[in-house]
Amino acid sequence: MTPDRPPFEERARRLLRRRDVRFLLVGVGLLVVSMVAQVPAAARWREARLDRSYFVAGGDAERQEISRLSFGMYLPHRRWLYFASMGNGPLAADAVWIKSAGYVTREFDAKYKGLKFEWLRKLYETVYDLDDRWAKAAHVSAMILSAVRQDPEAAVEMLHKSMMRNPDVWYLPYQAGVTCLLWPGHASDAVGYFREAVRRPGHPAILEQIIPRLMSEAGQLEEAVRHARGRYFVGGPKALRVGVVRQLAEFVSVLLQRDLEEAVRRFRSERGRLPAELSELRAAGPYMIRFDVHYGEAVVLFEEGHARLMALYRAPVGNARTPPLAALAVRGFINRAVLEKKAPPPEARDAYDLPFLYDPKTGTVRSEGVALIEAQRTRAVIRGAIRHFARQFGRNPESLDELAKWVAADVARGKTIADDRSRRLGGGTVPVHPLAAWGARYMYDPTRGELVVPEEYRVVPTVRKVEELKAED
Amino acid sequence: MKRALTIARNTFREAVRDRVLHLVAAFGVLVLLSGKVIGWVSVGEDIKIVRDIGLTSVGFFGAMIALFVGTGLIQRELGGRTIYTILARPVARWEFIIGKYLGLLGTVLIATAGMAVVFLVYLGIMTALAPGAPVGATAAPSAFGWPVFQSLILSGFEMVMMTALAVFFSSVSTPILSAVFTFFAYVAGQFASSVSLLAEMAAPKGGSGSWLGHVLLDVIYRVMPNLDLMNIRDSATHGYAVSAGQMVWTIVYAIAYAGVVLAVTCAAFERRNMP
Amino acid sequence: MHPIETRDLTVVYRTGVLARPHLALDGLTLHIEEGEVFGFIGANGAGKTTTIKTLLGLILPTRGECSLLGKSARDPVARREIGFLPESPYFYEYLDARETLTFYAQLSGLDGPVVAARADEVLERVGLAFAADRRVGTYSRGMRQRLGLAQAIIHKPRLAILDEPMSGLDPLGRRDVRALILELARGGVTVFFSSHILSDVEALCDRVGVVADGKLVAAGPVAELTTPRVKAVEIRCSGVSKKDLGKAGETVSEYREDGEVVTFEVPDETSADKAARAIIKKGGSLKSLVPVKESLEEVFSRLQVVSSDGVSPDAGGDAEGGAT
Repeated sequence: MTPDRPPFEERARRLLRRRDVRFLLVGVGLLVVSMVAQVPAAARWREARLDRSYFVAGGDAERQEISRLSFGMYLPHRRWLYFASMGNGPLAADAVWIKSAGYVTREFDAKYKGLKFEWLRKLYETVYDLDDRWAKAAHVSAMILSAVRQDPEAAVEMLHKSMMRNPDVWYLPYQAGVTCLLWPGHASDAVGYFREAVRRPGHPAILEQIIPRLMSEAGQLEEAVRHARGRYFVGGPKALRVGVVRQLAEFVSVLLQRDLEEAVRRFRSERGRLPAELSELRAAGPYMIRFDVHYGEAVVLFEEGHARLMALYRAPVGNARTPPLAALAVRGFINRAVLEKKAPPPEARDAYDLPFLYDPKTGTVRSEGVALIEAQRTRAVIRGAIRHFARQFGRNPESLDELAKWVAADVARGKTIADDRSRRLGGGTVPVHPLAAWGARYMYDPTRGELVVPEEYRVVPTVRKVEELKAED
Repeated sequence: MKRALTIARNTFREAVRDRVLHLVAAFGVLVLLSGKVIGWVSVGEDIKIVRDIGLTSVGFFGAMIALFVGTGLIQRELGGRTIYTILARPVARWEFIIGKYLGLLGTVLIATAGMAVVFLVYLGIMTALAPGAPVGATAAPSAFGWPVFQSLILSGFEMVMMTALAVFFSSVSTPILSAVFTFFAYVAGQFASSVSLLAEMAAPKGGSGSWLGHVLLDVIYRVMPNLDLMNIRDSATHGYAVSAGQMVWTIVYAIAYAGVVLAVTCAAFERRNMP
Repeated sequence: MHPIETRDLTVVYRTGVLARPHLALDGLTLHIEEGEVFGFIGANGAGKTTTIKTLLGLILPTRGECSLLGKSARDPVARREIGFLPESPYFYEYLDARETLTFYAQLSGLDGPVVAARADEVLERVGLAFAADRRVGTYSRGMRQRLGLAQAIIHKPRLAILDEPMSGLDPLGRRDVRALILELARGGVTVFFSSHILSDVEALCDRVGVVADGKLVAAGPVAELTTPRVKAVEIRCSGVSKKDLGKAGETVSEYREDGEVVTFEVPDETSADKAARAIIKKGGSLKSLVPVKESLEEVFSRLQVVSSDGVSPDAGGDAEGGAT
């Protein structure tokens, strides 16, 4: 009697002989392969922008908000648009973009801003949601949001989002920086964004120069100096490095000026009165420590760069707009010998070897070099405003007051985006000369429509090294 | 296998003359060329719009060709009884399916390649004629950049999967239903990643939802055709390529999945009666 | 080895999930001999096409087995030497006849220059040479039928299975097909064909199988099936009327008068004898006395009727008789 074969084995064998069963097994095997391959293939989606917000219900509040903003326009909620586009986000984004362009052109002549452009933010955010790699659209959106809708917050948020998603696009953080610059109180954010911009490939070299300037405006003088110093030693086009050197001088001077002002303030809070002159600070106590530290660093900075500086200034530099070096006044340079003798300089001087001016009545300290440069900048802005005024009204302004009031009115109307002009003249009054405490002011000749500048304030100081090197040639 | 290739060659010859194919392809090319017109309305982004429309058209119309020609052909075969004379030959059932698939795939790929060539030529002309990039802008992704080619290649593999699905559905269901099912499979396939996200959200520890829902959604995600893996248009249109490793895995997935569908089709076809 | 052999072949269809299963073939057992021409006849829906398709592996039997040339029908190798013509064949519309035949030849394993030569030969034989380069989509029904025949024989099969080979053909075409079948048979090819043109079957076939309601109700040589069963005797005479025949006239049927001539039928030879004597006795003149044999058609109808009544066919060499 033969032993019974286990029925399962026999059935399995018969089953395997069948062709369709074999095909199914092949199918199962391939399914396993496909599931294995699916994991790395889907890596893109896992790290991409899909997140829970696409599915979490917005609830009534959101729907109400959307209907409130309708203004008779229909735009499906952006999550539905994503699904409707069936994976073709960029194409749907193009459609919404075209819609938004039409919207902006239609609404551009609106009598009052702000409210009419509520939809704009929604449109642009939809474009971003559909195609987050479209940096150009984010860029334009932000520019329009800040310029036309006067909404720097929305602009910066849009740029920030897009910037994070597109790490090799430089003009997004750049634009964010620019927007923050014009947004009162956000100068330090601007600095951060500009630093990000220079980290990204393709940025124009001029950005390198803007950053330290911004840093100083944001009050981050030490960082400004450090950044500029880094740029100065790193290299780049000669014109750039010349600019950096000039910046360094200015920053160092401002830094030293700030240290002195700090010292005066501490003196007053401790002694209850202002010092009669700056030299009193040194005798009175450890008020000058910070100043000395920065002064010493500045010496080292400029001495270290001496050789490079020489090489720089030997080469032809500048274009038609840069005045020849010889025309610039020769000014002093920080005296190393004094430092080696470990004795303080007879009086505090800035990087241009000009004295620090002190007003004992108000406790103001000014670096003369920086003050002169600042005054020159303000004069340039005023000249530009005069020209614009003349173009608009066909005549020169009667006085600087009239000019300032005109600029202020423009700013109030929103016609001027915050820029140098509105910053300096937008207050409605003539800006105060940096050396006002010493009797300087901006003088204007209405008949000729020009500013009147006394001889001693006409010159922009520069580092003496420049002249020494040129003279040696 | 040689017989399968004979069938493939024959299918190709038949399919290429199909009027539906010509119609859909012509329509696709028309849509492609409309990109320029639409681009006029945009704010200087007309090249991007042409690129978007082009890449999307090639992908979408290619899939539609696979759908209509695929289901039409198989249905005509099974319903019109041309199949009797073939299966009375020493041809195995699976050879018939594979042969049909390869013939169809060849047709679809050539039609898609035709559209792609039109697209690339058009894009090339537009790029050559475009004014230089504005100061400060990054260089626009070039027309013949590798990312665009990558996108087109992966669209081709999307056709590989779609053709397999068309063959499967039309050999197991009625003419109209097979087209409907295939279309639904196409649409669903575009959202596969959302399904995986939903599955994640349904996980008991991650969010709300039950264990059952999580497992169910996870299984659906793994078994459904992930056509959106073949869609890299969102980065290709901006000039970002996909890594070679990712591309290889995606292609492996496409071929394996098409294999699964074909294996199941062969299994089902093996025991099908032809009354 | 029987070229075709089936044993208890049963095929059950289910047209829908809830529909009642339909019994298409019910325990069909038959075989055919090598080199013979076998005719397969039955009414529409009797199961002819189902049998053929099951033989070819197009349909899976629910029960029973069948073999082609000694191998299982599901094995593609078995189909290598078989030529099949389906009922109203369809072809790819956009190819021409030559391309179509090339395609089929290649599928059957032919290769190289042989293919083109054979294609031309076969096109000539079926009379399609004039349309060889026209698209099949432009062909008439008859031309398609010929093309179907052509693809069935292009690879010189050992067994030809033809489903309604005469359908769609005009009388000339039918004559050609008959000639072709005879030619094949002379060449040693076994021919199995189904038809409901009984005159053709009678003329061509060595043996015949009759199928009704999925069952094989008769099989055997034609002559045997139509065993001379005298079903009636026809008598023509003149000079008598029905009542003259007397007792013999009781079984008369089909009585008609054509002027002088009277024609009637009586059921068998005995009554014919009686009637003839009566005619002569009454003084009429007997013009003719002809025994009427059953035609195949009547055999056919009889078998259909019998089968649907459920009564087993009567003895006389029917069912299973020639099958062993």
